[in-house]
Amino acid sequence: MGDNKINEHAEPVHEGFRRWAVFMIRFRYVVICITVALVCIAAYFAATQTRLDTSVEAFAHAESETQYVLNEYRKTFGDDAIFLVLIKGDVFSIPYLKKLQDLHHALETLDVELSVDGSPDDGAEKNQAAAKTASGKNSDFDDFEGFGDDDASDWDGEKTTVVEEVTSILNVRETRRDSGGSLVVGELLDPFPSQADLSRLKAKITSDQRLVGQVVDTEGRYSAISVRTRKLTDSNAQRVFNAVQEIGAQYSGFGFHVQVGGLPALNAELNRLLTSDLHSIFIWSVVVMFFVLLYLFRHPLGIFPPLFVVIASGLMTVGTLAFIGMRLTMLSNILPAFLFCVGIGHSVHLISVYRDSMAEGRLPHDALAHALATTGVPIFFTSLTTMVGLLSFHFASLEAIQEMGYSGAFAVFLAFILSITFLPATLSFNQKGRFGRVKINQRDFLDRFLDFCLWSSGPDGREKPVFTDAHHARRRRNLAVMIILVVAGVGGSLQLTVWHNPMSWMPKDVKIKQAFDSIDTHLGGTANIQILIDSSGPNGIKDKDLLNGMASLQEHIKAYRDPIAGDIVGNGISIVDIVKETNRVMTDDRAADYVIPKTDRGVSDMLFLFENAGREQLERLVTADYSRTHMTIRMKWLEATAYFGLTKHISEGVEAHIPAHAKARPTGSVYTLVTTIGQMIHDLLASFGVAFVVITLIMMFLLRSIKLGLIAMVPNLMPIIMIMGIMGLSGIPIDMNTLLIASIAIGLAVDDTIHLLHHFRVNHQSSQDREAALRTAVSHSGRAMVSTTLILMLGFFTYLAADMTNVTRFGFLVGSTALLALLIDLFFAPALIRTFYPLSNDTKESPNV
Amino acid sequence: MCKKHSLLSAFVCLLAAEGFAQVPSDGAVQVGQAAVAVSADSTDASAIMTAVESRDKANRVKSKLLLKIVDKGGRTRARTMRSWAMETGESERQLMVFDSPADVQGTSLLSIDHDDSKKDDDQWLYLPSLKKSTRISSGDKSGSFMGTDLTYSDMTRSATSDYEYKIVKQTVSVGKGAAAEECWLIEARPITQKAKDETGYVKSRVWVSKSKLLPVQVKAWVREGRKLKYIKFDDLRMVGGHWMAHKISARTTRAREVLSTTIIQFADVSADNADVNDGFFDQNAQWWTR
Repeated sequence: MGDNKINEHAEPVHEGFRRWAVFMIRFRYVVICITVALVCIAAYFAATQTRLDTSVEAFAHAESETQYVLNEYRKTFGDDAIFLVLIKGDVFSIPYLKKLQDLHHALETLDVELSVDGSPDDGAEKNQAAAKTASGKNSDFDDFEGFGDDDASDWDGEKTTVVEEVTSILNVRETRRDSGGSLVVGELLDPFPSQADLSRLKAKITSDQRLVGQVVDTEGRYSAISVRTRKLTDSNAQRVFNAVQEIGAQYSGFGFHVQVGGLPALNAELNRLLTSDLHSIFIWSVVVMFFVLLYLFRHPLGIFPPLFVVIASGLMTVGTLAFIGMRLTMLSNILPAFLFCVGIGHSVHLISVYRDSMAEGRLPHDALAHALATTGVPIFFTSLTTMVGLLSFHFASLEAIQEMGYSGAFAVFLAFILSITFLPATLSFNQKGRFGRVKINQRDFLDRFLDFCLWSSGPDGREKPVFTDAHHARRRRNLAVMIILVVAGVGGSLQLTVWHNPMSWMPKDVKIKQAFDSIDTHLGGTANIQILIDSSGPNGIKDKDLLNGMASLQEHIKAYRDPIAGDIVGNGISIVDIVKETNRVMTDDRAADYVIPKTDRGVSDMLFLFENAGREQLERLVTADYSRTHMTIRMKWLEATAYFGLTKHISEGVEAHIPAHAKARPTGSVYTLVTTIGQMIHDLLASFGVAFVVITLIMMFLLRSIKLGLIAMVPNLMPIIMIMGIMGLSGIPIDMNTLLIASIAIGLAVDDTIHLLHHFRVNHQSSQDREAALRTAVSHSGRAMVSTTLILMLGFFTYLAADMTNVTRFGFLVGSTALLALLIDLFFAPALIRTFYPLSNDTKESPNV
Repeated sequence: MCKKHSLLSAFVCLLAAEGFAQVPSDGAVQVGQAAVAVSADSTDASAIMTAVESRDKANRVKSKLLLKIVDKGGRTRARTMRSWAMETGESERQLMVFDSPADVQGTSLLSIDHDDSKKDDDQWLYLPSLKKSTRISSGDKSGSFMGTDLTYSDMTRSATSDYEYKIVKQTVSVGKGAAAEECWLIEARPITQKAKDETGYVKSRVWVSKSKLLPVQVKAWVREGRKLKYIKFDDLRMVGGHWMAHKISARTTRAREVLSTTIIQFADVSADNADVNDGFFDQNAQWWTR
């Protein structure tokens, strides 16, 4: 380049996109009005009907075995997630116990106003349906009409509550005989003890293995209250967590230190921190992009339309998801990142060429048409490859990943549509703006940098296109550096570890971290695994062999030792305890009688007896027809993959101890998390493989050359290898968040490569001059690529200001990927082309190519 | 002495009339006509409930029962049993023997509800595996009866003075078509701590049939767990000259979620059986374990 003449041959133009641009300019008012109207409608749906589901099980496919078992468990026994309140103090003292009694009561009557989306009606309707289904043709169970409406005000001032059950040392189950010899399923501290009772109680309770680790520690310095609520949505879980914390703070004081933990508390805190971070980084990244766009284009039309494209495509996606009832999950965080990549990328490329076209002497509307005609094809193909990358998640087995793929692809499609409609329509209002560049031959730092990139593997942009020995030496050095970097990247990647612990994402001073540590240290742990056990049919749970198998399984699990954390398994709770307790009480009440009766009839009689005395306790553990039961195993909180060993140990235990006619399946929130992480790794790798192959094929088609298509995949893959190497060397583990980096990385890398190589191919096709084509491609696409990368990098580096380490890591890694993708494209793609692509006829080259 | 009525007769013939909704029991029970007359226009809730209480009941009753309990997941436990019940003048007595399924066959429950409220009620359970009868606790009246949605207090009357009654609606129709019953809707609210503890209810509402002086349905607000309980009495038939519900349905819900449902159906009900006598209900007599 270097002159002011309009050089049509230097640009690959597409007549269809030129006509489209003219059409957009002609109907710009209509286009803008329709776009704004659609965005307003989408914003309305986004604001009023968006459904958030950040639970772990949202990741599982509705038809997967894991989700099926979890649903079966919840349908039968309710939610396994409980809030845990830990209280430090002298447990066996009257002041402590009195205060505990007050706190226990306050939690029992916890009154929280739930938002509409947290209405328990969903569950109620499901159960109504279940009851109807169960009754089959029998209408016995349907006929409960005519009692009038249920109104909260009917409680006459009595507080309603979301709490279903509160358990503490005060009311934990105690099966005993009363003075009259009757079996009583009572509460441990009922009646409330006197001072004189305390030392005896302390000795008794702290030596009871069923209670130690569940409601009290071994030394009587900590006790715990577990709070089971109705199934809550995320927003309502947050409200309940806040309310529990407030109550805890009210009662906390000298000799009575209250901490709140448990899985719902962790999720609520994660959501709060994540939402807060996402809000602030969204604002910061928009601000940064604003200033970078201002620096690049120095015109309102160079700033606001690109930002509008990004924000509007996001809003329209969320609005559409809300309208069709699809949910947003934790994975949806990836959407803004994709949109910034795609939306800003399109805009910067289009505006850069538009600006250069005006600098070449075209009138604004001609320049706009020319810009869209030039960038339309690469914009389309970058959108297509990004959509392919996202749609490859269709092959994932986890539903949330599939949904993220569909919604992401839709968002990218919208960004493409807005980039070729709204963007040219608004730019057409420009009359005099030069967008920061007045003359085409005005060389700046960027041009010099791009020359340097070309120089690193051959002649630079200003040299004569003659390939000398020095050029060959530089090209070989360049390729050697590339190989070294790839080897280093692969080496670093081998150091990668899979490690998922949301707790580690939080800042150190967050109270819930301390609560989890305390509960894990002093009580049985904050996590639990459920084992759902189905017998051969009604009354099958009364089989003594099955109960003995369950007892053995409980012992087997209890004996597990984690290679690093050691003893992580706490108490187990199951119907076995009830049968043993009742048997002991009904025989001679000796420790030796704490066994399962020797006959099935004996088991049946013990359960019949207990049924009459402790119905609600029994309902928590077994179905009405005695066909299904469950076992709860308390565990310490570990990172998710550390449970892989335990789940394998449990499977071995099930195999060894549970009779063949019964079926025992692990489940629960933590188990779902563990299996989901494993499945996610498999899914994302498989999806990435599909995306890689399909993108390679698209590149070959776009570049009309198998060789160039394969060459293109080197700079596409290299940023991913390098970023994984960086992760491995810097100790950043693969977790639910960082797993997504590879998908974003290939999206970023492909976009840059498409712009660069598309320009190269078209110019090379017309000129048959490799060096000239390279120069044109690098100088035209390179400027936009640098600008785009600068925006993305700075935009994502604003994530470093977040509180959550997963967010800061995500920003650092995506920003770094953008930079790596650019540098690899600019430095190594020319080197590869110069190595493998045919020379032009008029280019002189030394003999030692 | 405060006269009470127990679960014994409740199951067999009087449940609908005597247990639920804390009906008063101060009036003496008379055989024959209702002891207290009340007109369909009455607006005196206490008088209505006293009339309900004092109506005639069957005695020396034999019946067969089918008991079904459905949990919130829709799984059903069904049991059949035979029952014998009588009123001795000092107590209500009932013997129930479980016939099916096989795992509970032969299990028997003997209950003696003393009219004297100062005396604790007696309940004995015969468990075949232990080969002896075992006393079971009846201290917590708000506890579940035999794992059903009904509590012991649902089947036990308390003193009128423990409750405050008011008419919510003078006339309300319950049921459809020919089975429709014109009812009073009466609210009962426990006002003593004893009544509050025993029932566990914040309050209850009773739909009382004007023609039969029987409760036909009850809705109760359960304090613990903030649950609602709905009870319906259907299939009303004359037995020995007295109206009796042959089907009782109870459902417990929380925040509109169904937690469990109980259905009790009666069959082969007969009253004034001469073979139902005192000796039948002796817990020391081993033959009751048949």
